[in-house]
Amino acid sequence: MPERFKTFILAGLILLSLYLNYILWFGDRYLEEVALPRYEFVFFTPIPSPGLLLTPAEIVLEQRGKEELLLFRRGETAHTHLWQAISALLQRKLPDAAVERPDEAALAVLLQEASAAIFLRFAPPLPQNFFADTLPAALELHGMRLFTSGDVFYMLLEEREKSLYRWFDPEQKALETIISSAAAAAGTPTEKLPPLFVLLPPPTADSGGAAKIIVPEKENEAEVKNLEDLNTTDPDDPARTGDAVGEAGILNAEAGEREGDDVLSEGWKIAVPGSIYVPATPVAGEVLLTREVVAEEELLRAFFLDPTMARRIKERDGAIYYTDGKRGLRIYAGGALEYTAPGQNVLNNRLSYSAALLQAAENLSLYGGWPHNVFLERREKTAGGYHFFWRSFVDGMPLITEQGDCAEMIVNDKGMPYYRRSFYIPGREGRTEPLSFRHYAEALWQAVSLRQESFHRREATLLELEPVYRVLPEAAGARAIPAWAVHFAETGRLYLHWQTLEPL
Amino acid sequence: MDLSRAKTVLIFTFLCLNIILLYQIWASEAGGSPVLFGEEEKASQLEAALQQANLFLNIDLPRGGMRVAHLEVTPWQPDPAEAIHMFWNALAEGEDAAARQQRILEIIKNDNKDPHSFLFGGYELILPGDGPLILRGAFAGLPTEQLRTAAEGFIEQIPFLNDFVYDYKISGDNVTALYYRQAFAGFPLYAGYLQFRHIGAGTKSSYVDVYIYRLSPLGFAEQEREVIPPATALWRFLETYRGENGHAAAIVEFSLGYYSEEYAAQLWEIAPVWRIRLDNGEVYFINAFTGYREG
Repeated sequence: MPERFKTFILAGLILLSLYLNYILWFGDRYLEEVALPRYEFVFFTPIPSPGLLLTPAEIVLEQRGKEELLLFRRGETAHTHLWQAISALLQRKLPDAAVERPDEAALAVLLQEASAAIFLRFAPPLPQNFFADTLPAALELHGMRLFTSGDVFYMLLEEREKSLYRWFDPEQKALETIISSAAAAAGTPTEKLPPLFVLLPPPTADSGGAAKIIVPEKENEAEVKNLEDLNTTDPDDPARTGDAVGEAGILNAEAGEREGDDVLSEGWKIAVPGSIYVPATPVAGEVLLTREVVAEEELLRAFFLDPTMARRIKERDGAIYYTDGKRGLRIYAGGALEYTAPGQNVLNNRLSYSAALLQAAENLSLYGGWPHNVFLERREKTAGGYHFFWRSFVDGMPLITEQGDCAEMIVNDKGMPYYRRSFYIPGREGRTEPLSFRHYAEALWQAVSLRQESFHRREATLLELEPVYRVLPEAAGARAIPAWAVHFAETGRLYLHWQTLEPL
Repeated sequence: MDLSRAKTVLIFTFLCLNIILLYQIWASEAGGSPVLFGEEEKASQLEAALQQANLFLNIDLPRGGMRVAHLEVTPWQPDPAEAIHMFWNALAEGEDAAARQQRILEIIKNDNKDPHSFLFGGYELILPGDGPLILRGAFAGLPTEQLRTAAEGFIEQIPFLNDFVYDYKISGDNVTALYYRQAFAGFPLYAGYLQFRHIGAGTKSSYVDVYIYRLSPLGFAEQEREVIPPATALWRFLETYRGENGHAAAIVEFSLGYYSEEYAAQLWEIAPVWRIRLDNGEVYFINAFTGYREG
């Protein structure tokens, strides 16, 4: 019996010594020595595929024989389907395409022969390798035009140099299918603003007339010069007369008649340096909004190595601020959140645009999720990294919040030094009856009238004009009011109520 | 071969081995002297890093291995009338209490300044919305050697200063500053401080400005965790320490407490920190959970 007892004791001591050796060498190390920077990679929403994280701002269908253009805007179902079909087609076909630098004259003939063309505008630009590996990785894509001529399918990229991709498509089915589905889809009839036009005031207050635009018949240098003469400040200058306008070949595009001297002398010359597509008859009503509220616990786990290490600070405005000394996360009472990590600021970012874009998409999905109908709206390149801005869209129109955008993020090769998020969710109920917007010419007139002091002469440069939803935060709940967003280079952005044209 | 004797010898051998191993583990967890294999090398590396930073460690590092939690606090909001009453009584006696009370009420009523500023009995009390309360013009003409005694007497007479304990003293050109720190549940609360700044020390026109920043601790958070060892905290400190123009300095204090910046907030949690104080008056705080530098 004692021998068996000794054997057990000995075995126990040997096992204990093994355990103690293990503890001594491997066990019980301190937190900062053992804990790798391992975050809880639980995504709020899946990361969108590269083809979907940046979609075209506009898809425009031009059909020969039809003056009307069809516009497809982000947030519209037809836009999503069209973009998916186009990107799938091009990804499939581009590897076999031949590329050339087109001759201008030959290109003009090709475009004239095309029965239809689809124009896609990317804002912000799309890294070309997102679209197809065969395209150069370092280049950015701002726009593309797709068309067919004969049996050949063309893709025209108009960047610094024009590139024409073409491949043989004997049955013409690929693009024809897309074009016919686009024509059948619920696109918005739209018009493209001319590069130069004259904005005329309403005839009189009593007659109930409205402001309108007249467009030069021919766009050439001589007309531009004469239009500039119209804006001379000298009242005796002959250029201010209707003759001068007549010589310039200006017609009233709206009414089809020549305007009188007085009205013309009060006109404004509006230059449009970019392409602006304006929906012909936009219709919208007010929409009730609710703030997105992201699960706080999950957010903390996503942001901090160990949420229990983060200190909680309850601020006087009701916001809760979490910090571990290196980064801070502020969750506002309304649900908005702001994250800062000053240690991740850099002076010279080396991350490429495409890598930054992928990182930003991953971050947005990880830190709160990528809500439905949210699109990347803008990017700014700075020495400290890429600054991305996202917006929500309702019925194809962007929601313009107090800060302008719903989310913003800075991404660089060191991480994410800044992130802000404040999304609104449009309600299905509480919408007012949809009403037509006032004509855009009236909105333009209202904008120049409100900001007359910003202009030296009666001329302006129009950078943006689009129907939007302007968010008005109220105690009872936020409302989205339809509005014209008018952006003159001289004034900055103005938001005008879609019925009253009062500034919002 | 005597198997029984062999077992007995082995039992004793393993017993001794296990005792040695247990001691090693205990000593290592206590965070004290470098008893483990390889720890001597780490200690010598630390000494070399200190020398490179022109720092001298003239004290023993405290023991680590403690488990603590965040401390939840709210800012202390003094009642101006009560504060004036206490300060006035502590600084100047002999006046009729009722008459003084009446004068305090008039002083409070006439205040329309921002930040609030009250003049009473030759003193000025400044109450900013956030940040420290300032009492100007106390102990006029006080000799420097009597500063600590006067300060202790002042603290004794003011109930809301009773949780402040003496911390350290710094003397400079014409100014001597006595620092007191708040304490809570046996821990130093470095974020709360009481400072007596003796201006014009040694002259007849000297006076003392008193700075009070006090917190109201609500209690500790539930989640406790082990603090990083002092040696690790020292490493983290040396990673960011830049020194003062290359001048040599000595570490005169290395202690565990609670510290945070002064927030304009309703309520906040304070992290435990290792405080490293140098003989040149510089004070550094290393978060005892994360190792990040605070402040």
